[in-house]
Amino acid sequence: MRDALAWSKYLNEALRLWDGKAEAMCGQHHWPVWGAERIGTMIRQQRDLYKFAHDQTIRLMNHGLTAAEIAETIKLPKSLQGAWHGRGYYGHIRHNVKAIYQKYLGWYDANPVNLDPLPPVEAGRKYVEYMGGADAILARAAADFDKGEFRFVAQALGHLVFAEPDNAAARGLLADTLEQLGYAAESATWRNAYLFGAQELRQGMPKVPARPPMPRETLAALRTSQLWDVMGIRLNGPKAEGKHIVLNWHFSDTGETFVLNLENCALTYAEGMPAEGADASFTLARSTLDEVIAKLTSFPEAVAAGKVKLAGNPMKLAELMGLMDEFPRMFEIVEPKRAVVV
Amino acid sequence: MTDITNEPKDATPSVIAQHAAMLNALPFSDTRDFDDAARGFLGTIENAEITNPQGRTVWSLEPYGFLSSEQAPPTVNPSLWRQSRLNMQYGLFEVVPGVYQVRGLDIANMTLIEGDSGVIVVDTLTSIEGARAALDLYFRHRGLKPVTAVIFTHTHTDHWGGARGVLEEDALATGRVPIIAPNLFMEHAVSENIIAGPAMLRRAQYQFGPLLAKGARGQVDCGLGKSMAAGSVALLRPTDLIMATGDRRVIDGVEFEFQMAPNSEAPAEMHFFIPRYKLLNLAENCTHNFHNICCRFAAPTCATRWPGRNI
Repeated sequence: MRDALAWSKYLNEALRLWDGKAEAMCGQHHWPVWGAERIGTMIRQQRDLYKFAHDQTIRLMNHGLTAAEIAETIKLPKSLQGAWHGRGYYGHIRHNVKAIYQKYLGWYDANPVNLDPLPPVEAGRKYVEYMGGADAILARAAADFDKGEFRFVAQALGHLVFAEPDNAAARGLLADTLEQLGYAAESATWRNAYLFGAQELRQGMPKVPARPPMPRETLAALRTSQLWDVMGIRLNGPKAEGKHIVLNWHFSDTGETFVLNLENCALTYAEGMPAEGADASFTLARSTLDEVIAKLTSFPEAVAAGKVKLAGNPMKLAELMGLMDEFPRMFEIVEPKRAVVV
Repeated sequence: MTDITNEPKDATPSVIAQHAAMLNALPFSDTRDFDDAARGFLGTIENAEITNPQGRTVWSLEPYGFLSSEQAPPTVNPSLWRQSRLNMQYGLFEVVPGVYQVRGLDIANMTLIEGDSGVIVVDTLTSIEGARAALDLYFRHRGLKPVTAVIFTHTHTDHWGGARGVLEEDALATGRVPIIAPNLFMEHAVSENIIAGPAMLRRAQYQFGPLLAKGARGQVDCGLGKSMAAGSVALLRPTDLIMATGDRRVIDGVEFEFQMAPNSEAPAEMHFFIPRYKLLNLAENCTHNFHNICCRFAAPTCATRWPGRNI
């Protein structure tokens, strides 16, 4: 999580180091600023923008306001509101304060009503039932849409779409509502989010080509431990129930030795000594493993080419890889998941 | 209630009223940003069009031609419209004599700092194709010269993805061109994106809108720049890490003073000042917008590749 307080302190430190010395200031986005006075003004305003957001969020938090309440309450001072470079085109004061809150207190607002609520589909069905059904909701939503109450209309229709994803009237009116929120938004990222949500409600998720494998240069830049970390988050826990697999790895080019261990449906690793009694041991170059992951070759091909030395039962590696999930490129966001994920 | 169709609709009266209020509330008569964004212009590539070796367009501002109108349409917030127009200033610009920037050929900038025998490249854009095109544009106006160092200001892909586009194979093989980056660059450059990459990429479609039509009823900007670049990405390992505030380097005869800024906009980030050019570069921590603090709002980016990315 980005640290707004540290951010502000670095800008203050930059002033201490260089204020008055620079005749031009450029960044790695947007356009430069010239002249010591304008440079100093911009850095001070940016410093105070992040400091104000941080400090006032925490002040309101310590008065007991929750993230959503802080976002609704906080207003930038006039001197920063009127500075063009303080406008929230990429971030936004209302979502930035929620991030600051979350950095300190996490997702929970301490109200036990919100400790273990029903997830969106189950809650949506009950909301629709309590609110008198789809038609009653749609009638009120249409009236509020005409009054410009887009934020709540979106909130209410979100429940209806999660309860009844095939309700065309609900999808249509929610799309129209998100679209108006997008047209109104000053933040480019808010506009994109609203308009893309509207588009997916109207047209469904776009088809996109399959994800290519990771490029070799990027793989080569990863530490071996990071490769195991990625394997760990791909392991399908339920499928791994009852499995115990231990694999020794020795990388001839880097000199590293790892033990990869699957038990309790969790994949862990240890560096250093090989495990006695491992199911299998593999000796190969780390670059060969990279080629396999980049799909430039396959593990059996690498074995056949003599690039991998084996001991024990290599089918245990195939068994482990059979427990790995492939992540979909696309998944539903503005409507319920069609696929069952466990 | 409006009709159910698949087409974008008009703005409603309440949205139009909000826009009118914003026009009155903000200092639209202050146009210094437009002067600054245009200052020092040396030349550009038509429509900032960049293609990959297969002929596929990886970047183009041609679809944003609708932004030529000064007045915002009812379907775009006028403050955002202003920013979207500012981000349309694209090409090679002189910052001060000896320091140049390529802007608008990517969401990020490439800064070029002339040394005694060549040019130091600060940040290499998102893609190899984009970085190559940006460096070629610079060469066309400032003459062909060797790249004497590459600096990565921070760990986000739009600042290092194209490094191979500015380094020749032999420079890579021999390591004779230093690649300078903040401490812990490698640890964060990929790890920030790799574990949550698949979820971040899908969320990025919402944040950056690459699959929306561009237009007054569609995508107009990303705040920091126009959009996410496509193209090829490769991560190169730095050869020289900046460890502490106050560290100095003389690079191709030019003295740099560095300041560390970890866990700000990126987990590893740094600023620098160049006394010779009286130039300050605060990387991505002092931009012309309120930046994003919750980096996983829909953090990252581009719809076309893996891993996911923060910007």
